[in-house]
Amino acid sequence: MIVPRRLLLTVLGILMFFTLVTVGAAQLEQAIAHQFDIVIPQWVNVAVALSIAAVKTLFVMAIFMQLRWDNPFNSLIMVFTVFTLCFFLGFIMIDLGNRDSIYPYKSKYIVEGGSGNITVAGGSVPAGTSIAMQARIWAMEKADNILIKEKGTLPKYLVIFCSQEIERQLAAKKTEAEFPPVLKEFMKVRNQAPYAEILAAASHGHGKGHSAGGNTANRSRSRTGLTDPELGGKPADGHGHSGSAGQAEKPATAGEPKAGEHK
Amino acid sequence: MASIPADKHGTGSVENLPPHETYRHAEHFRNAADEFDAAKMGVWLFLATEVLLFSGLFVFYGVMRMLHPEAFIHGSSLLDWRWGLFNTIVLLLSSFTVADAVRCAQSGDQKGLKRNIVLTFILGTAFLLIKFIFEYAPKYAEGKLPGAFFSYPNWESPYEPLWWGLYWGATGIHASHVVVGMGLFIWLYIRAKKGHFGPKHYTAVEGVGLYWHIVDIVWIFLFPMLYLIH
Repeated sequence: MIVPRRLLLTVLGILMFFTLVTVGAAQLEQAIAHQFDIVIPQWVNVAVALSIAAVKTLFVMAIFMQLRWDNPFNSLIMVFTVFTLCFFLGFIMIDLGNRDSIYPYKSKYIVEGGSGNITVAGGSVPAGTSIAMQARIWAMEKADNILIKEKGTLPKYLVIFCSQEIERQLAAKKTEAEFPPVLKEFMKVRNQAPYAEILAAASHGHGKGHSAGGNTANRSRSRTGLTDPELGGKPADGHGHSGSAGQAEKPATAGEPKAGEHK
Repeated sequence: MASIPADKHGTGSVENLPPHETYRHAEHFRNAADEFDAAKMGVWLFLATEVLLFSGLFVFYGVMRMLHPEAFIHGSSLLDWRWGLFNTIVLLLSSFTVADAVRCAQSGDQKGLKRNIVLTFILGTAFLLIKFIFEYAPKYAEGKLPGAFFSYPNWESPYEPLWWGLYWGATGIHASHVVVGMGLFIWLYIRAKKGHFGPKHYTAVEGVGLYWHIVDIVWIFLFPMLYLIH
């Protein structure tokens, strides 16, 4: 079967159209969530994006890959592959989605998990530091090198880092006298030429319409909590998780900021 | 004896025909159609293994997203969907040029075949250049790297090294498939120039085309998963 050029072009047009639809849907959902301050459940977002991808795949397979006119056995191979993928994904999701209902029955055997401390073995930072905290230690050293030793200009992401670090230090009740030298230096220059604009732009969010904290679509989601308050976590109880495991040993701390709202 | 060509693709010496006209199927096949069907089924079985290779990454995405949604939401907000969209369009166009290349081979349009192979190669290069210049390089410079290489300080969830692990793993494996595909297109072009492909024989064009389409399909899923779901 020789697929006519006209049909190939039509399918290309359909694929382009669906690409724009999927991008438009994602933008629209965010715009609606922000504009009306409503919560769009995560599954809507996922279902829309993946259904469009599935439709596009059907067009590519049926016309571009010629399965429509091909030996049905080739289609059968793909059907079984997709089945395998669904089983693979499905059974793992059944397990993950039901852990909360299983935990209470065997709570005495389970210790609370998810401290957020994926730690490093050591090196330039103390052993036991989490990878995420290591990133901030490194960034502080880098900013120190650029700003104080080399008298250079900080790249954009380090400008934002320094500014956020000042807020974190203040939130931790540290006085300016206790700040590391690089932050003291940064406070002197942050209202000057390149930095002021960067910070002004950054204060309007990430410039792409959403951040983890500000996204209303994010609030409805239950999550397996981070339990290390130092990392912005909270005890693993709230948001519909029964999570009774391990709370006998470590009672929930009241008033901890919720994950994603810790700014 | 003189009518039997010396090699598989023939020399075309006898009647001065191009190689694709004098193509002879391998001895253990009944005819060229059987050989073509067998080769094509082999490619489809290979594509099945490719889908399963990427399914591991999709499962990783599903599990980690369920466990650490805040890491994935913030990570995703750090990607620029406009580059993702641009690259999606580039890959869709290349899928069309490949499908058109198969059509040209089937209908004996040698010029169109070569033109489409070259176009696909150029689109593949564009995809990789966009990826490396506008996506990988800036992320590398800011420390948005997987696992223990992670050194981006402005994280909002300490699990963000996992997100970057998925991002680099999935797009990296996909990009390596694009590189392999481009090697195959060079091979196809050399053979097309020698006149190996025509209405009677175009197995390799079809096989490489199928492979390229599956690479496109993987991107069709990676794009919304990484850039759009927030």
